[in-house]
Formats: sequence, C-alpha cells, structure tokens
Amino acid sequence: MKPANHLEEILAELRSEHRALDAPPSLEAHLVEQTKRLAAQSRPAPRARTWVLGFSFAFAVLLACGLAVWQLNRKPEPVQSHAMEPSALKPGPALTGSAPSFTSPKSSHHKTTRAIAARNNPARESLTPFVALPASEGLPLPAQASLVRTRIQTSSLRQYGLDVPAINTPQTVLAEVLVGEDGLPRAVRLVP
Amino acid sequence: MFSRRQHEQRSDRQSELDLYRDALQGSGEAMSALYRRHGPLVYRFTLRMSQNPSVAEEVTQEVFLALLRQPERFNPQRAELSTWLCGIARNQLSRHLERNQRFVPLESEDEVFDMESPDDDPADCLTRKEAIEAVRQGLEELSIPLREVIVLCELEELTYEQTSLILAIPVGTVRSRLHRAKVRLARLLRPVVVNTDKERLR
Repeated sequence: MKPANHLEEILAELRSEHRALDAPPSLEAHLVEQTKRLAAQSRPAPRARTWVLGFSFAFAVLLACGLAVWQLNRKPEPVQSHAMEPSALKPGPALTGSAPSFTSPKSSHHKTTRAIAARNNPARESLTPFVALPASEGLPLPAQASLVRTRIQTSSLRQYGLDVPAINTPQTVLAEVLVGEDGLPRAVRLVP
Repeated sequence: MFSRRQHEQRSDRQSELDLYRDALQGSGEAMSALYRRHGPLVYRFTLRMSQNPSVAEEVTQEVFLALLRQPERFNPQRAELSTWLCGIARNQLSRHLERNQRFVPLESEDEVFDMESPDDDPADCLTRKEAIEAVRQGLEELSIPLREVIVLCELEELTYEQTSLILAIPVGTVRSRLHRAKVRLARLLRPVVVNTDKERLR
C-alpha cells in the first residue's frame, strides 16, 4: 500500500474520531443566558420607553413654542430714534383739547402698526401718553415724524404740562420727543 | 434531484437566518439551535488548533458572543454562517495564541518534499493503531497554516472555497498547503517505519 493511500485511510479514521467530539453543553446554557441578557440591555424597559416618548414630545412642543416666539421677536427695534407714522401714536388724555390731532383715515393700518409696536416692545404700552408741546400749536400736521429719546430737564417738562412729582425726582428724566419732518418737536412723553 | 437539493440548501440557509434574527431579538431557543448546529464545528476547529479544551471553550463562547454583539459584521450575502463563525474563531484563536506566545511562524513556501517512495510500505511495518497515533501526533506538530487546512479540508470536509473564505487565502494556496501538510504527515510516518523494520531484523 502506498503511503498516500495509507494516510488517507488514517485521516478517515481520525475524521470519524474528530467528528465524535461535541461542543460542551455548558456553553449552550451560558450562551442562551447571554443572548437574553444582551437583548434586554439593548432595548429600553417599557416604563422608561414611555418616559422617553413623553420627554421627546414635551421637548418638541417647547422647541416649537420657542421657535414661534423667536420668529415674532426677530425684528430689531431701534432704540434712540426711528421714523414712524405720527398717526400710529394715539394722543393721551393730556392732549385733549390743546393737542394736535394725529388721527389718520388709515385706521386699520394704524391698529396693525400699533400692534406690531406693542408686540415688539411690551413696555411701550406702559409709557405715558404724548403731551403736545405749546410751541407746536399752529404747526402743520407732519406727514412723517421721528421719535427721539433723550434726557430732558424736569423743570422744562412741567412747562409742557407733564405731571412730574416734585419729591425724589432727578434733575433730568428720560423722555421721547416726537419730531416732525421739519425738525420741530411736536409732543413729548416720559419713559418710565 | 439537483434542484431539490438546492431548494433544501436554500431553505436551510433561510431558516438559519431566521434563527439568527430571532437570536438577535433575544430568543434563547434560536441561539440554542444555532449553537447546536455550528458549535461543534467551531469547538472542534479551535480544539484541534489550540490543543487545549479550556481555550477551545473560551474561544467558542467568544465567537458566538461576537455574533450577538457585532451583528453588523456578518453579511449573509458574502458568507455562510458556519464559514463566518470559523473565520472569527480563527482570528480569536490567533489573538489568544499571540497573547500566550505560542504562535508558530509560517514555514517557507518553497519548501519541497518528495511525496512518496516506492520502497516504503508503512502498511507492512506499522500496526493500524500505531499509524493513527503517528498521524495524530504529526497533526499536532504541524505548523498552524498547515494544520488549519488539514483540519478544515480533511477532518471537517469543507470545500476548498469554504476553507479559502475562512482562512482568507486563495483557493490555490489552500490546495498547495493541503498538499504540503499531507506530505509532511506521510513523512512523519517514516521514522516509525524505519524503526519497525529494524525491530523486525533483530
């Protein structure tokens, strides 16, 4: 018999011996346990899943609200001076009788402008009403006006008819002056 | 007949993939079935390569855990599960052997052996038991690359293509290594043959 053939026979013998080897059963039990454990780790518990969903929903709602608010407040507001329709400013009670009338036929537009102005700065609504300056009497109604924020002497304000308390009042106060397109002041109000 | 066998193979493979998916979902029964199907192959391969039952157990366990922990690494389009598992087993074993400094370097490829000699007739000189023992011993003494192909192609009866996928070598290299391994084993029988001849002459 040739060695190659003999080797094949021996290998066949070894093969049957080799195939008789089996994997240890203890490993099987361990793997089954590991399978269940890994699967449990990979998926969240039902209660935790509910919490995750709730948090996600709340976060989405908050994000949507935040975005909406941000969109509304996105327009920059000029601080010192800005041009605006004089009719957008409604004369206060102090202007009754002596104040020039700024009413305009475009009332719906004014409401919109006021609404935007109020939305842009809610503090504006708490400002005192404009008081017409004595010097503005007889002046033509301006087509366009500017609002100038400045510090004015308290004594000057009293002359304009504004109610300024005498006690604990600084020498100057912050006020907004309505200036016509001709550069002449028309009205004034206090900025709290 | 042929189409029936193909169909059976396909359905076997499909059921195997279903088992694998179920095991990933946490089904202990599916993992148990996969282990019963492929565990013996992986264990036998690692045992033959490491010659250490505890190492074989450890590596087999790691292989199946890798299947669960890194499912993205197994692509059913590229390889069968058994082939993939054996490949992982080989890598794990290689790492283990490197750690324990038991790595045997690859022999030079240009090593040449004479396959057979007409003068030698081991069948006349050796008892069958002695011959089996000699080959078994020779198998353990083979270098890792040669032992791998003998274990996979001869003992596990995998095809050259499957072996080449597991070992990540070309089919031609599998053939040449197998040839060299067989030559080496046949050669290892000779000293026993010579000794037996001498004993006979006395």
